[in-house]
Amino acid sequence: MRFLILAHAGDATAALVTARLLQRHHPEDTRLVLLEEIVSAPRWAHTLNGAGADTILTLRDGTEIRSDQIGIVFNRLQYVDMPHFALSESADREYAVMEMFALLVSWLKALPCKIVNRLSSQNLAGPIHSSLAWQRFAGKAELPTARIRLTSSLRRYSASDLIPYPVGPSTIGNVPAWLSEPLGQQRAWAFVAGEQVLGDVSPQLKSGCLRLAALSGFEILLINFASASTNWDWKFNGADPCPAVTHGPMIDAIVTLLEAQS
Amino acid sequence: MILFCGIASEPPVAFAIEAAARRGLDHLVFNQRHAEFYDIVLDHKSGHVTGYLWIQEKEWPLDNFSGIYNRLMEITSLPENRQRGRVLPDVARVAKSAFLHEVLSDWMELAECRVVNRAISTSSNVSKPYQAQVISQFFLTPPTLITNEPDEAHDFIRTHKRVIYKSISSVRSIVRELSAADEPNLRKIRALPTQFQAFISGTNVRVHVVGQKVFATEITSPAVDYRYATRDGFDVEMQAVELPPDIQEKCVQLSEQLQLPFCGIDLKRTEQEAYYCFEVNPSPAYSYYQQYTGQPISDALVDYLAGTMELEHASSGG
Repeated sequence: MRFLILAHAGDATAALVTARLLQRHHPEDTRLVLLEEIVSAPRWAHTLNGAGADTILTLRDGTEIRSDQIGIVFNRLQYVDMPHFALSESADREYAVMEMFALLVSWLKALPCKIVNRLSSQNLAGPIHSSLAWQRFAGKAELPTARIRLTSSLRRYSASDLIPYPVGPSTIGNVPAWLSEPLGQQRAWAFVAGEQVLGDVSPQLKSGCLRLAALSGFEILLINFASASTNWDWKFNGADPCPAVTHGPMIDAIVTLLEAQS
Repeated sequence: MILFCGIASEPPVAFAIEAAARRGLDHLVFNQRHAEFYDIVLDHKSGHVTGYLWIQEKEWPLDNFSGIYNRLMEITSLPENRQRGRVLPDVARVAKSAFLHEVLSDWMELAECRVVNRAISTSSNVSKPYQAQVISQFFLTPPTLITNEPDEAHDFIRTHKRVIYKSISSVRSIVRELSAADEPNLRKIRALPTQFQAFISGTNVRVHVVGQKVFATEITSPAVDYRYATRDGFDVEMQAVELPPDIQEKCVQLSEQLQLPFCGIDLKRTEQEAYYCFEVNPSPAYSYYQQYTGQPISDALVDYLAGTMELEHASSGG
């Protein structure tokens, strides 16, 4: 198959991308596989022999997925759930989840084809970046960023020009907090899919969004902006590498990326 | 200045602190057991992160650290954050501790100094076959099958005769040899794919890489998994050895590829002098080997973190 889409049940983005690919290609070229089908597959055979790795995965409906027959993977999986261990003791359930995660990560790494977004051993949906790391990436990508402070003690490290957002209960004012410069109410977004950038922001910001995607290692990325409090400039306000998008042009941009890279 | 993060009395941390003190290297200890007395602040502006740690009633600029030894334990495992008898932990204190650790960990991922090791690099060990795919660029790895199909497992056993089984992830990571008595139980793997590996006979060699330095320890034990030998009633003997230069070089290259400047590499040397690699531990309890062999691993570690280690090429500490 040319396009393998991996997703959780109810993922509208995955369903829309699959539907668009089915419209444009032979039905046998596209297969949407849900996590539930993967974790309950009656046959897994993942072999490593030094020279390489090979996997045969047979699903309950008889579909056989062979590593060397996939053109590209659009991976929307973000976590592992093992429903058939739901009644097991929590330690056994957690063990089963970790084991299946470890297998999925190895399977995906061994695939000779491209995976969008790229895989990480940290997380199925790619590397995990903290909010602070995203802010730093954005700054290095020359996107305008807000001034941010994180502290374990608002009493010791308050800042009069920043708005505090306490994290957790207070003990004699010594509360941990996230502080940010004030932002306005307006919001905007940009959506990166490969070299395409959609969204109602300036070309300069779009260039910065492409740089942010490259720096953070994601080909698909939704980037949020908030207006500054004092003017109409946009400030980076977070990014999502696995966004729930349903807007037609965004789906088309993902499909174009998958077609170009498969 | 070196920052040590963890529980100060835990042997790997304690050995490193002692080495830094003995070698006169400036250092600071972030002892998790005293976290309630510490604070942190990070500031982000235009892509730059700066900040301070507040420890021992003093402010320590984060930019002043040349290296960080990260042995942070889960905060939920700290006694002060757990229920004692009928006394529940103070919710506000636990919340502060959690955020303090989270912010510290966030900074360690971004810090421009040497960090052993960053979380993003340690994750390769979460999936042994994932890591094996990286390892196989440098070392032989045992033939491996992960399956939930008993017939596939039986075929693998027939092919390789002696087979071990172990977890795919880093959880419950104990190696066991499959015996004839186990074979009827293979039907149980239908519930969860299981990892089987051809048994490789030979001598276990544990290698600690610190930057460019390599410390090798040969382990003699009849146990399949020497780490649990005592528990299984077997003896363990260890001695420092010097590896062939090409194997030392490969160890350093593997640590660089995995972005783990400090790691424990599990090798096995066969009778034919071939070296197989089984896994790379991103947070090695090196103190166990240092105590037994006298290898100066903690000295190398603090030299690396202080930035005083020369960029010499793989020289054995054995």
